[in-house]
Order: sequence, then structure tokens, then C-alpha cells
Amino acid sequence: MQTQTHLESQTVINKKKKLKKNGWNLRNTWQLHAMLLPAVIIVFIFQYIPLFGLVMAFQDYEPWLGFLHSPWVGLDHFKTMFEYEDARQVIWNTLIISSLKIVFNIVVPLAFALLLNEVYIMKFKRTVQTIVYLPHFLSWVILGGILIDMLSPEGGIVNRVLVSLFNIKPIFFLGDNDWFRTVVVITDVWKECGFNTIVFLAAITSINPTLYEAAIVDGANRWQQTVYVTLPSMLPIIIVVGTLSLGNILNAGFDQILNLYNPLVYKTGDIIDTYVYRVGLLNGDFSYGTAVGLFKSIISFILVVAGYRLAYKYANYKVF
Amino acid sequence: MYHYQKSLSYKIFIIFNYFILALSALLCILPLIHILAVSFSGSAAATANIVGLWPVDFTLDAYKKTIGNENFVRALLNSLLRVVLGTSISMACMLCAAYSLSKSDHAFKGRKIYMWFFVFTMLFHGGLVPTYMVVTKLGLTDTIWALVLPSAISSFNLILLVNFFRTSVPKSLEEAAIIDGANHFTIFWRIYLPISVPAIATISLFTMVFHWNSWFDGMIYMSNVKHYPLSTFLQTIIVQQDFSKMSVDAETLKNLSERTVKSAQIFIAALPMLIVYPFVQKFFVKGIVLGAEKE
Amino acid sequence: MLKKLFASVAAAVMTVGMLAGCTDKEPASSNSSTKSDGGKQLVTITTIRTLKDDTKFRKGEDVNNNPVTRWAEKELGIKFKTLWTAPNDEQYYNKIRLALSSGQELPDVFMVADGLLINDLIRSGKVMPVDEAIEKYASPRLKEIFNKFPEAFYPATVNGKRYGIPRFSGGNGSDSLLWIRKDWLDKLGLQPPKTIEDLEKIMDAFVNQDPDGNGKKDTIGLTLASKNGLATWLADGSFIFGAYGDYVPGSWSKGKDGSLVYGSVQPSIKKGLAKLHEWYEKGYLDKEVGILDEQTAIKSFVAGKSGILSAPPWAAGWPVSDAIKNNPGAVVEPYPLPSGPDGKIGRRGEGLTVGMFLFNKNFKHMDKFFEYWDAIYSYIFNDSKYFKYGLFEGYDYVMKDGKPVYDPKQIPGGAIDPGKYFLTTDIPTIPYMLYNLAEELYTTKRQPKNAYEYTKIVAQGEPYMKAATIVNQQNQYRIENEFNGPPTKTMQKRGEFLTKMERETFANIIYGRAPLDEFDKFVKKWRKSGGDDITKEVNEWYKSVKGNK
Repeated sequence: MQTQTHLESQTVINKKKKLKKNGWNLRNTWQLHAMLLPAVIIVFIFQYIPLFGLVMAFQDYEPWLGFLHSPWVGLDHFKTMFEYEDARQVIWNTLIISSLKIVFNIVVPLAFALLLNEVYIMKFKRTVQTIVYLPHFLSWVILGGILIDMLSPEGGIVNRVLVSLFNIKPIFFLGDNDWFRTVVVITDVWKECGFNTIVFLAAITSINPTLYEAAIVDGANRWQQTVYVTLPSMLPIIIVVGTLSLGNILNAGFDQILNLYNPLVYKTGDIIDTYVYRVGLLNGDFSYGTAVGLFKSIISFILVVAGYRLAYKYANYKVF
Repeated sequence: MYHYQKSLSYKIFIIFNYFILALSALLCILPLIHILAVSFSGSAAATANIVGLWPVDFTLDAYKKTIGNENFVRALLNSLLRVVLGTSISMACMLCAAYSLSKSDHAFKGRKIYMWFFVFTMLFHGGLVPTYMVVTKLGLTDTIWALVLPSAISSFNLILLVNFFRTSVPKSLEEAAIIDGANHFTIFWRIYLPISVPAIATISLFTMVFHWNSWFDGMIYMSNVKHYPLSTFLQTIIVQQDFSKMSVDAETLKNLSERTVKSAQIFIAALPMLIVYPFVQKFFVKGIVLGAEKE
Repeated sequence: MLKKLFASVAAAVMTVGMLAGCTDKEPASSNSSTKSDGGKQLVTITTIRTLKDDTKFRKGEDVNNNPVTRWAEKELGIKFKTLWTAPNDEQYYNKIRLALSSGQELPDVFMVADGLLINDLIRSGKVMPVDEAIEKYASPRLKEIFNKFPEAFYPATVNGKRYGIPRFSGGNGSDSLLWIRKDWLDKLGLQPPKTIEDLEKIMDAFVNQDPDGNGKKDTIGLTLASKNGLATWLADGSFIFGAYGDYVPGSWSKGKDGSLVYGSVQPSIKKGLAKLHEWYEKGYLDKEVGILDEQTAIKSFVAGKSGILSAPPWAAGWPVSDAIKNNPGAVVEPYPLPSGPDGKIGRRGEGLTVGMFLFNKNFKHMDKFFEYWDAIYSYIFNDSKYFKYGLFEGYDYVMKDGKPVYDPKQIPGGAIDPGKYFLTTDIPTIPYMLYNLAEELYTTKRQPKNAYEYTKIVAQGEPYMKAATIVNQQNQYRIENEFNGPPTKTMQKRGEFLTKMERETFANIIYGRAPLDEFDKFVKKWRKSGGDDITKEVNEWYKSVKGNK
């Protein structure tokens, strides 16, 4: 017993020595820099250089005058945004819809990935996995048309089912302020849940099998394995996906809302992006859109940083 | 597979599980079957919305209209080139970058700066005009590079990759390699890449789908219709007109029942992904880590 | 392997760099003149255009090589060069704005419909005033139509100067009339409506007396689209408002004192809304009318669940023909719009222009442009030395035994409309001309004289010609939007809010979610929140454009 410990400590020392010997590899990080170089160059050229365009937010940008000569207006565009009568309503709608989407687009795919993980008929697993990813390829233009039909209070399939099951009055889903957001969130989760399911499945596949073997040795059943091995192993990726989606807190889904909303549900369905779109139709200039976009970016950035800090503090995990 | 207790409750769960999954799959596929049926239906029936899950007045017109266009094949080839070139460049750059970024702050001093360098671009965008100006000034317009380079690095995907690297590569393995005198390139090539196959497959899939679906950049950067990728080309098939100022035209009116054509496009656009995805799924296999460790 | 990878990335980056270094694009505006084969001066005119999917080409031909470009080169000595195309207006304007932003040269001549973009282009100083050129080079007959429709120039008139040539619309081409299920009328023993009251009786019968005979109460009276406003190009509700006053929602028309006023805030609109609410309550309208746009609204009519559709004559081709196809035995007939209690009739009138042609300020060949313009207009004047029976043989007609044949089936490879290849993207029009011709052909039953009369009118079928005649006979009831300039300053600032409020209020009133008197509150708020300023600005604009001729 003692000799064994001795041997073990000996190997540890040996390891450390070797590590030190090979230390130049670790300290000399030029290789790491080199490997980052192509990505950095591309991002710098195509993402950072165009950032100068953000000055538009503080200008009355006229295309033919360019960024150098367009008149400066300071914070006027930002003021316009907050002086807008419906600003509170629009921001509130955006926040509610997007946060519901963020939560459900993590919870549902997570549950889905876990359920799929319990399937041992590979053909079935792969088929289901492929099918749930398919709605991602549908555009909201065409889905909008289908949804209007499906949710119609006059003979739409959903209402027919509800009426026959619960004997209620048909619901005017897309024209009812009590229902509109629910419809928006459910259809979005339906369309996009395949995406995060794939991410979570990839994470499950990457879990070290020895962990399960150890759990089985300890007598854990399948449920306990899920709770004590799978979920904790997935926690990092869940935190990552969660933190990243905080960046979308002010994006409630422009294409979707544009194709589904209507004057009857402006009160609950109008969001920042559709508002900016309507303004853009009238004044066609890029300045106001840029200003609102910048505002959204700043808020998102603050939230993502906060998410990063929280993840580090409470889960001791660094997202970036 | 692994051992698990085949208790009664687990068996009930399994049945329940299959039921739930099958139901979800059904919910996802039914609208698609409906769209497929519409794409094979006569336009009058489609406009009236009387098509259910089976075509009414079966016709191939919508497909003929799309595929019969002489620019279709060219657009398809452009798209394939874009997907292959775009995905290779993206993945090459992102995988290398992700390797460096997966090191600890301690081991790689500049890491934090690099990381925020990328995170920042995820949230702040210059917008259409300045990006267009950069691409134009570089002379990339009307070339494939305008489609693959500006979007080559997705910070979102990069961060996912970094996290996959960090969670799935066992530290012990890496240390063993260092002891054996491996440098970063070798570790990246010999250890990180083989272990992270599911992650690489996932992100490659996302990148492919992104390149396959993007149409706006094609529209903006390509002057010549012959350079349009498929997704951009498909956008041009539907007649879009401001009818409030229309002068009467039989040809246009015939094309108006766009529902069938739009539906056909969905399938033409999604088909290659339907072929690729099951193939990609083959990489979602367990045990690679184990195999590598035994080596 | 990695080295290879880096090498290829480096190569890619270098290629990019090289590309950046050696871009010598051809200048967009090339006022070059080269000798053509015949020794004649060949003038190159560059342009850009939308290329929609309804523009078909013969195999091997494209936008820069087709009968029109060959004709222009041979007969007029003009070489047209289309620098780029866009599939729809939105992308077309996007690309123009981007080109403008990045300092690219404009093409020699191009069409823009967007009022704001026209205004931006004029303010940029990169487009040319055309008053002088019209005076100098336009043929007398072109001048005559220009003088006949002076308001067509308003969208591109700034400080009394005209900066563009209008591309005329059909004038009343998208004005609506009623399409009614004649078989339902006959089945229920009803007469076509003369008044709104008649119409209500018919709608009531359509809803309650099971016109489709399926034993279910599943039919509605009238198909309407309201998502994008109640006065629109299909499933149009403007006639309801026109029956109660001289205004339609969303349009600026002349008030009692001759100045322009905004239709949606006039008292007569309230009466129209009251009617719509009543009809909604009685089940005459689609339950979902509030969320339906033009294309989704028509499904009730096409599926045979609705008896009346208010739509332009071209609806004969779509969607009316689809309704007939889906419902065996269905007979759909066009009828004039009904009158209100005071005998008033009114409908939304289409504008006079589809867009404005603007010219690069460095463009030197306005003479050539007008030569071309007159040549393509000569076809519809029926006085062309180039186009006698049609535009191009083998495209829109063929000669058989010395006689022109227009039937598409007889043309090898099918008929193709080469009019789409013109700068105008269609055979040019003069307002009201088309339906005048249709009325003439319908009432006199004479034979068509050329491919234009055949394809655009006769081949469209009898119901179309009848409908065109009816629309033409109700021309005095047009309520046109007289404001066709760029959005005014206050409109840019407040327009979004005002439109949103209007849409929301109207929808809520129709659905009974707000009392009718909410309309008065809306009017007050509209005026206070910028509406009054906008009215002032619109009238200032009106005076400024009218002052010039």
C-alpha cells in the first residue's frame, strides 16, 4: 500500500519534471497566436472596420454625403426613440416575447435531447432528430399563411380540435391580445427547437463514458445517471447557450412578428424591430435604424456580460 | 450500450418516451407534408386553401417553373461552391481559433482579449452600408469571396466550439501529449480534432445551413444574375409587384398564385440538407474519447 | 496538413488583396460613342432595372441581348447596357441606396418609384433636370401627353424644376368594381345591387340562405382585406366609404376649399366604419377580416365561401378564374359599384404614374433617349414604322399567309412579350388608354388591330372587357390620392405613429372592441400629434408643384 502511494507520487513528480522540460511549448504561445491570426484578420476587416458606420446613429446620414459630411445631430435619434408614445409598450412587448422564447428555447430542446438520449433504436432516433430540425428551413412568410389557416376561428384545425375536446368557443388566436404572444412563442419554439437540440445532443455524446460506468458501479439507475452525470456534464453548455441567448433579449423575432401581427394585436405584439421597420418605410434613412440597433447592442452587451459574471460566480464556469 | 435497471417504471417511461417523441415528430412533419402537398397542387386550389395533406389537381408546374429556369443549375452550382468553400474556410479558421481560445487564461496570456474581441462582434454590427462599402472597396463584389469571407467567423459558433473543446477533451490526455513533447499544432491535430468530432459535425452543419440559406448577401453583392447562389435565385422566382400601381398583364396574373411556387422552393431548398443531415448524424457516436484514451 | 491549410488560407487572403488592388470596373456612366457596323454613330446608354420573373427570354437571350436591344442598336443606333438587375422593388432600391452611399456613379437612365428615393437622388445633385431636354427633344405627341397629365411630373418636381419623365400607369387600371356570384343571385332570386341597401340585402341572403346549398351556415357576404388599410388594390373596401362621402381612408384629396385634406379623418369615414362594424356583427364579413391582407383575404372568395369581391377588372384572370375553377357551376359577373343613401358613389383611384425615369447629370444623349421614347410610344399610338402588327415577329405574333397571327399556340416556342425588354419594363401606357380601348373593343366588337390589342385586351376574355368597360364608365367617381411627393418632414417623424393609431382604431371599431365615438378621439389626437402640421406641409408641397404649370 505504501509503496504504491510512493510510486504514484513518484510519477506525479516525474510528470511535473517533464512538463517543465517541455515548458517552452506552454510558455511560448506564438503558436496559439498564429492559430488565431486568420480568424482575427477576417473579423477585423469585415466586422470591425464597418463599425465606423455606427457614427450614423449620431448623424442625419445622407447617402451622397457619406459618413464624413453628413450633418451631426448628436443624440437626437435616441431622444426620438424615447419620446415615441408607444416606446414603453413596444419595448415591453419585445422583452416579454424574447425572454419567454429564450427560456423555452433552452428548456424544450434540453428535455428533447434527454428524451432522445433514452432511445436505443438508432433509426428512430435519427429520424426524429432530422424531422424536428426541418421546420427550421421554413420561412415565416409561408408559415404565416399556414398559421392563419390552422388557427382560424372558422374551421381552423386547432380550433376544431379544441372545440371538440373542451367544448369551448373558437379562439381568434391571431387577433386576440390574450393569445397572440403565446402563439408567437409556441410557434417559434416549434420552428427552432431542433437547433439547440443538436447542440445538446452533441454535448451528451461528448460526455466521458467512464463517468457513467462509475455511476453504474455505484448502483445508479437511469434516472439517477441523468440527474447526477448527464445534467452536470451538460451544465457548461447550457450556461453557454443561455448566456449567448441573452444577447437576443431585444430581438423578439422580426420576420415572425411581421408575418403574424396585425392592427388588432399591436397592443401585445408590436416589437422594436417591427416599429423600426415601419419608420424606415417612411423615412428610408439608415440613421434611425442604426441608432436603435446601437441601443439594442448596448443593452444586449450589458446583459451578456452580466450573464458571464453570474455564471462565473455561481457555477464557477467561464463562458468565454 | 450501458447497463441500466430494466425496472417496470423505466419500461413505462420508455413507452411514454417513444410516444412523446413520435408525437413531436408528427407535429413537425405534418405542416411540411401540407406544404409538400401544396407544392404539387393546382394554383387555384392552393389559393383557396383547400389543400390538406394530399395534392389537389396534381401538377408539377411549380417545380417546372423553378427547375426549368435556365439559371437554376448555375445557381445550384454556385451554392454548392459557396457551401464547400465557405464551410471549409469557416471551419478551418474557427477550429484553429477555438483551440487557442480553449486554453486557460493562465496558459495563454492574451486569451481574454481575443475572446472579447470576438464576443463584441456578436453584439455590435456596423450595419449594411459600411459592410457593403468594405466589400466593394476590396473589390469582392460579384465574386464568391463576397459571400464566404464576410461571414466566415461566427462568434456564436466559435464560442460553442471553444466550450466543446474545453468540456470534452480530458486534461490528462493533453498533459500526456505535452510530456511526450508534442507542440500545440500536434495536440490540436492529434487530440482535439479526433475527440471533438460530434462538435465539429454540429458546427459544420450549422455553417453549411447558414451558407445554404443566406440569400440577402447574394442579392446585394452580385450584379450578375449568373452569380446568384440558389437561395438568392429562389427569391427571384416569386413575382413580387406593387399591385396598387399595376397595369394589367396576363403573364403576371398567371404567376400570381405564388403559394405553390413558394412551397416548391422550400423543398428544393431543404432537400440537400435532408441528404446531408443524416450523414452528419453518423458522427454523433459515443466512445471516441474512450478510444483515444486507450491509444 | 496544417501548413497546407495555412498556405491555402494565406493564398485566399492574398487573392483577396490582389482583387482589391486591381479592380478596374467599367465606369457606370459611359457616354461613349463608337462606330457601329453601318458606320452610324452608336451611342451607349447604361441602365439598371428590376427583372421580375414574368419577363421571359428565348433560349440564349438575356437582358442585354434580345430583340429590343438588337432593334435599338440597328434602327436607332443605341446600345443599351443593363449594369445590374434586381428581382423586386425593395432590393432594387436597396442596391441604389447602397450604390449612392458608396459613391458609385449612377447609370445614365433608370426608373424609381419610391418618392423618398427620388427626392434623395434629386437632392444629391447627381440627377439632371429635364425641362430643357423635353422642350428640345421630345416629339410633339410626347409633349402633348406630358401636358395632358402635368401631375404625373409632381413626384420628381423640386423648386419648380422637373427631374424625371413619368412612366405612366394605366390610369384607372387598378380601380375596383364588384365581382358577384351570379349563380348565387339567381338561386336566391336576387337582383344585382344598385345601392348599399341592396347590397346589404344580398349579403344577408348570402349569409343566411345557404347559397352554396351545403346545409351549413358557412358563407359570408363580402371579401375584404384590411390589414394594410381599407382602401387597397384587391378586396378593396374603399367603395363603402365612397358611398358616404368624397373621401377614402389613406388618401389625400381636395377638400371643400380646394386644399388637400387627409381622407381618414373626414367625418364621412365614421359612417363607413359604422357600416363595417354592423356588417361584421351580422356575419357579412370574414371573422378574421382584421388580420387578412390582400392575398390572404381572397381565399374565402376563391374557395367559394364568399359571394362578393371588390376588385379591379384584371381580377378576371386572377383570382376570379380560380374561384370558377374551384367551384363547378360558379358564375362570377362584374357589376358597377353601388351608391350610398345620398346617391353618392366613390372608389379609390389609382395614381397616374408607376415611377419616374431619372437621368445621370452627366448623361449627354437626351436626344437619343427621346428618339427611343417616341419609337416605343409609336406602337400604342398605332403609328409606328417599326411595329405594325406587333413588336417582334416570332415573339408576340407570327405572319401566316401574309396575315398576322396572335394566338400563342401558333407562335413557335409560345408567345413572349418583348415589351418587357423595354426600359419601361412593359409596353408603355398612357393613363386611361387601355380601358378606353377595352370599352371600344367590347362595345363595337371590332377586330384587334395589333398584338397589343389582342394580348392585352381580347385574349383576356369577355368578363375582363366587360369589367373594364364598367370601371371606365364609373370614372367620374374616382377619388385619387393627390399627394404623390416624398414624405414630408413631419410625416417622416410622426407618420408611423399616426398610421399605427389609425389602423388600430379602425380595426377596433370594426370589431366592436372600441365604441364608434373612438373615431372622434382619434381625429383629435391625429390632428394634435402632427396631423395638422402634415396637412400644412402637404399643401405647401402641392402649391409648389402646381405653381410650375
